[in-house]
Amino acid sequence: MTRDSRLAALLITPAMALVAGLYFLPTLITFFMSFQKGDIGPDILKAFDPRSMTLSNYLRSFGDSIWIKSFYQTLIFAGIVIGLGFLTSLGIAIVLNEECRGRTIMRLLVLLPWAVPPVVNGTTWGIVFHASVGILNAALSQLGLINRYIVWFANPTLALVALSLAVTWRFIPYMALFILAGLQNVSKDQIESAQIDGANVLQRFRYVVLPALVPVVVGLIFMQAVYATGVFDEIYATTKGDPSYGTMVMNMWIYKQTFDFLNFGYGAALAYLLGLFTVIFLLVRHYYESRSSR
Amino acid sequence: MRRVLRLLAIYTSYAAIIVIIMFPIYTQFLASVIPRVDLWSRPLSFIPWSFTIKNYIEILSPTHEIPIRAALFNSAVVASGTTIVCLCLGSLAAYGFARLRFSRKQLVLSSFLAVYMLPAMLFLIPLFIIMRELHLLDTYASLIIPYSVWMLPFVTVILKAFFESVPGDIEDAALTDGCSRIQTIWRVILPLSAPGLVAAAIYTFIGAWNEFLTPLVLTSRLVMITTALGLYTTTYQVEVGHLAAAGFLATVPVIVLTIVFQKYIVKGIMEGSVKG
Repeated sequence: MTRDSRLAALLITPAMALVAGLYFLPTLITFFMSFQKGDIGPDILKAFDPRSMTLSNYLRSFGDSIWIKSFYQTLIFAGIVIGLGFLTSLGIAIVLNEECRGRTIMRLLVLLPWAVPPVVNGTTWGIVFHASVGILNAALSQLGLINRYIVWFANPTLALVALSLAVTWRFIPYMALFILAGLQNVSKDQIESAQIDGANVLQRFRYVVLPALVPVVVGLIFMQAVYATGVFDEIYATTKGDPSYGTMVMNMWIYKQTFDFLNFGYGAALAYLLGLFTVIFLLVRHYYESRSSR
Repeated sequence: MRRVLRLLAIYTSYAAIIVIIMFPIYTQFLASVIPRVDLWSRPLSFIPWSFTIKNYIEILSPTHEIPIRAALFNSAVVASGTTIVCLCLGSLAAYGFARLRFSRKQLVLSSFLAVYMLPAMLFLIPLFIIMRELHLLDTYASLIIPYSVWMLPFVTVILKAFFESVPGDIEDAALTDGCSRIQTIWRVILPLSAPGLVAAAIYTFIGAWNEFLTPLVLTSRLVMITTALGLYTTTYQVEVGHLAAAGFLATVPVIVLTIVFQKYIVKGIMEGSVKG
């Protein structure tokens, strides 16, 4: 071992020890817990008992209609958040990419939702969609668009859409700034030469800007997919999965199973199934990026 | 003419962006500063003509059902503590990754980065049991330690990027002048990477301030500002004005930090995501 690598080890060890002890170890314990039935109780070592290991938690998940419902709803949710979020962010990024007075302050404004605590984002949109004092109902009826107040969170479909709008709002800054950075990397020369060749705005966007953006965007979307499928705070702060499980997402059901029903083993198995999605998204992103950087 | 049209298009879009971004923030502000009667009366006035800070006074009073004042203090302590731990350990690790050569560096770094990707549900139960065995439940440490674990990878990645941009020559000069490695880090690398340190600090502080699920699971008597908000939502009859005021107080510190340190934050997000 050279002197350098000994020093490197010394510098990295404290951080790594913390991560190993409080991240890798718990993750491993959860893995073993997912093969134990029900509540493993206070004795954590029971999780490692090979005699009582069983696949029943994973098998149970296939017959759990609420888990399956939450799976589809998480996909719909993530689809809305990423689709709508991407289009809005692309629009914002294109506007912010234009040289104009006031652009600096607009960039600052767009960053703000990033900082808002997700749980506060939930309570805020809860007030927006509040059935009786809700600002949205007041605004819509004062504009003459609705006759009677809509109880947004009473209808499963409306509630799911409403909450995905709330989460989309929080996702906008990251996506918009990311796309903006991508736009700024598009070479000015190429755009100008396309312009000289007679390409109009749409053609320039379609044939010059878009191809340069695609690699950035694909990585971004898979990254956001990880966060969107793991959403929890906004749901907890508003509907907690109601009405009639209409806004139940995977993370919320895992929380309920684990901490309300105390099915630690089953909760652990579900958490690992959710983790599997995360890993799939990350692998696709990794594969795509290593392929496009070659 | 063309120029006028372009400006018109841009400023119309600006107006739309302002509405999208400000609508929920303003809604919360409005609900927190108008009297209860006004909130329920229709038509609703969207400008708070009868401005009141009654809601704020009520939620900050020690007799309020949810201890907002203590929660704000607790969140500030935990977020600051996490920031300090992350910067200390993170800058050492980042220097190790940035400057020193060792085998399997990439593997160590990627395994490190895996941390902030997987769902938190995966490790919360064992973490609860570990904290209980260490008799740390309901202490500041029970939150500062796990937060640091989850923020460290990102902090390390940001700082590594900044350390790598410090010219090697300057460092070599310091080393030949007789500085030790640690002195070099302290006297040369860190001052030159100040923007990176600020970015990492702000990112960590905001992340720790905003964390909700971990204190929800790990603490019962120690209330953070985020779990305080959660408590409102489990109360049967919640006063909307109180909820709005508490939400606004929870948002102000992070919004102020964001406005003041905007440049560093954007740079930090980009470094972290591109390299990660």
